Amino acid sequence: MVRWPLALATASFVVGGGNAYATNTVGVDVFSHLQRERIARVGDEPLPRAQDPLVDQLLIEPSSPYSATRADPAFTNDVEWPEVLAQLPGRLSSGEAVAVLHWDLGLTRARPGQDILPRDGFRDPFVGASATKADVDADIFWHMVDLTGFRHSTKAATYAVAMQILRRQLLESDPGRQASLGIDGEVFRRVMKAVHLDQVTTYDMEYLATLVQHRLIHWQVGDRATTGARALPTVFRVARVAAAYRDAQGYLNGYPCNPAATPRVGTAGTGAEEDDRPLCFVAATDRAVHRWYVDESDRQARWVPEREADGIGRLAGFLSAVLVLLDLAPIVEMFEAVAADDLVTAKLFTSTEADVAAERADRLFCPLPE
Amino acid sequence: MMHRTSFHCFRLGVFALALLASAAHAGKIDIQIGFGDNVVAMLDSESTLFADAYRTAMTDKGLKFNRAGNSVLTRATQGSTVARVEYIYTQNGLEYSKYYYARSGPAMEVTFDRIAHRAPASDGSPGTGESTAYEITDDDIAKDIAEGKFYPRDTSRRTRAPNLKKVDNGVVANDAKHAGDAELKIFRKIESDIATKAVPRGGKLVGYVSKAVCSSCENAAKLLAEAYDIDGSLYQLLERGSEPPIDAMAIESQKSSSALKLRRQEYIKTHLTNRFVPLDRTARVVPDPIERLEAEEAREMTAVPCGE
Repeated sequence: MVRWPLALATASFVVGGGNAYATNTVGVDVFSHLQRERIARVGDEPLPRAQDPLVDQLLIEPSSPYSATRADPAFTNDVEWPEVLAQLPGRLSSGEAVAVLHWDLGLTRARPGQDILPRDGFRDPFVGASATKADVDADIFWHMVDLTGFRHSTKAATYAVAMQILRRQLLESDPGRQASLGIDGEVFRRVMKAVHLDQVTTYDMEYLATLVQHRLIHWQVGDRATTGARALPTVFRVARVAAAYRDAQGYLNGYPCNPAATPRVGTAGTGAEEDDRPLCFVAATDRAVHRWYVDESDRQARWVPEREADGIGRLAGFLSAVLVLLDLAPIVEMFEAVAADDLVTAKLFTSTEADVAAERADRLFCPLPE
Repeated sequence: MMHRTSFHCFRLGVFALALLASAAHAGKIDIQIGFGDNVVAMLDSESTLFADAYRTAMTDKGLKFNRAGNSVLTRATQGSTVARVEYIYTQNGLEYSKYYYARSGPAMEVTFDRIAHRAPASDGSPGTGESTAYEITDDDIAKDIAEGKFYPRDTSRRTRAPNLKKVDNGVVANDAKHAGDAELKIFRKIESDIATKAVPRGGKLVGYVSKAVCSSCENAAKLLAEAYDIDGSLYQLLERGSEPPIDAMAIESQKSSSALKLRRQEYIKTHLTNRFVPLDRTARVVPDPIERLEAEEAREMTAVPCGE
C-alpha cells in the first residue's frame, strides 16, 4: 500500500486549500505524551487538584458552544511543559502543540475563511466549511444524503465518512494489492451507482459500517487529511458532516448564523440542556457539534417506520453498534482529558494502562478482575 | 422434508454431476496473503459477533465461571480462527452477493461442557480436562445449529456457517483434525446453499481468514472450486512465529495478525467476564422510553472509572 510518506514522521507546514487556521501538524500525539508525562511525574503521589480540567484550560469560555480557544492555557506555565515539548518528535513550539490539542479534543470551529477554506461543490460556504473540515468530497456528500433523505442525515453522515475513507484507500493503494488489503473498490462503485437505498447491498452496508467502526475505536492519531490539515478524529468528522447536512436542509425559523459566521442571537441554540434550537454550527466547536449530533441521531432514530425495513431499517441495523461508539467516543475523550487526574490520584492508572491510553476505545469498558 | 438418505444421495448426485460438468472449465480459488487495517477491521468485527454470542449464551444460561473456567473460555474464544467470505454471483442479469462468516471449533455448548467437566488440578493450574483435538459428533452439530439464536439472524444475504453434518463426498476435510476449521465451515455452507439453490454455482469468492489456511482446507477450496466452477481468492493472515517471513507482505501480514489478536484479546477480556455490564446496542433502533432509560443507566455504569 502506498502510504503517506510523512505519516510516521512529524511535519508541520501549510499545504494549501482546505484550512485557514487548522493545524497542519501531523505525526505526533501530543495528548498521549502529556498524559504519560503527568503520570510518570506523579508516580504514587496524589496529583494536586488545584488545576482546572484540561479542556477548560484550553477554552476561553468553556461553558459556551461557541468558545474560542486559548493559545496559552495554564498548564503551559508548568515547569514540566518544556519537558513534554522536548519529548515530542519534530521540535514543536508550545503554540503548535497546544493547537494540536485544540484540534484533537474537538475545540476548534469551522468558520468559512477563518478556520476553514471551503472546497467547491457544496453550494453554500457554511455547508462547505463543515464538510471540508470533515474531509468529505462533495460528490460523496450529496450522494449519500440523496440515498437516505435528510430525515436520516445522521446515518448518511456516517456512511459518507466511510465512503471517503474507502475512496482515499483506493486512491492511495496499488490496485493489484487492494484485495489483499481488504480494500473493496466494488463497494465504492456499487454505492455511488445506486439511485435508491434498496440498491445498496447488505454486504456493502456492513462493510462500510465496519470501516468507520474500526476507525472510531482505533483512530490513527496525527494522520493527515486530504485538505493538508491534521485529520480530525472520526467521531467529529461524522458530526461535522451531519451538521453540514442540517445547514443544507435549511431552517424554517431563520438561519442560526449571521453572514459573518457568528451565532444569531435569539435564533441560534445556546447548547443549554433545555435549548433544542440548532446551533450555528460553523461557529461552534467540534465538541459542541457532536453533542448536538448525539441528540439529533436519537431524534432521527424515532422516524424509522417498519415498512422501511428493506432500506433504512438495514441502514440503522448495521449502524447500531457504530452509533453507540459515536455516542460514547467523546465520553471516552472526556474520561481521558478530565478524569485522568482522578485515576492518577486513586493510583488506578498504572504505567501499563498509560501505554494503552492512546487506544480510545479501551475506556469504553473497565477491565474487571476475574 | 426430504428423507435424510434421499438427501444424501441427492447431494452425492449433485456433487458427481458438478465434477463432471466442471471438467470443461474448473474454477480456481487462490490462497494468498492478506494484511492491512481493513482486513483486521473485518475479522475483528466477526470475532466480536462470536464473543457477543458467547456472552449472550452465558447470560441466557445463567453461567458464571471461576478463574479456571474463564481461562478455558478465553482460550476457546481468543484462539479460534475467524473467517469471512463474500460469494458474488449473477442471476437474471443482476449481480448479487452473499457473505458467510464462521469461527473454528465446536458449538459453544461444547466449550461450556468442557468447563463444567474439567478436573481442576491440585496446584490450581488449568488441569487436564480440556480436550485438545476436536472431533465433530452429530450432537455437537445439532447444538451448533441450535445456537443460531445467539447470533444475528441469518438472511439471504448474510449467514453464519455452522458445523454441518458429516458427508463422505463433496467438500470435505481430508484431515479429521481440521473438520471444524472456519474456512471449511464456509466452504461447506456454500456447497449446501448451492445444493438448495439458495445461490447458484459459478460465482466468485473473496474471503479473509485470521490464520494460515491449512493444507486440508486448501484441498477443500480446490474441491469447491472445481466442483462448482468457483473462482476467487482467500486471503490469510500469517501468525508471527509460524514461519519465517519471506517478504515484506508476509511481515505486514504478521503485523496485522498481531494487531487482530490484540484487539480480540481486549474485547474478550472486557466482555467475557462475570461482571460485564452490557451496552444496549439496540437503543437507537428501538427508541422505547424504558429501553432508552436502561441504556442510559448502563452507559453511566460503564462510564464509571475503573475500580470505583
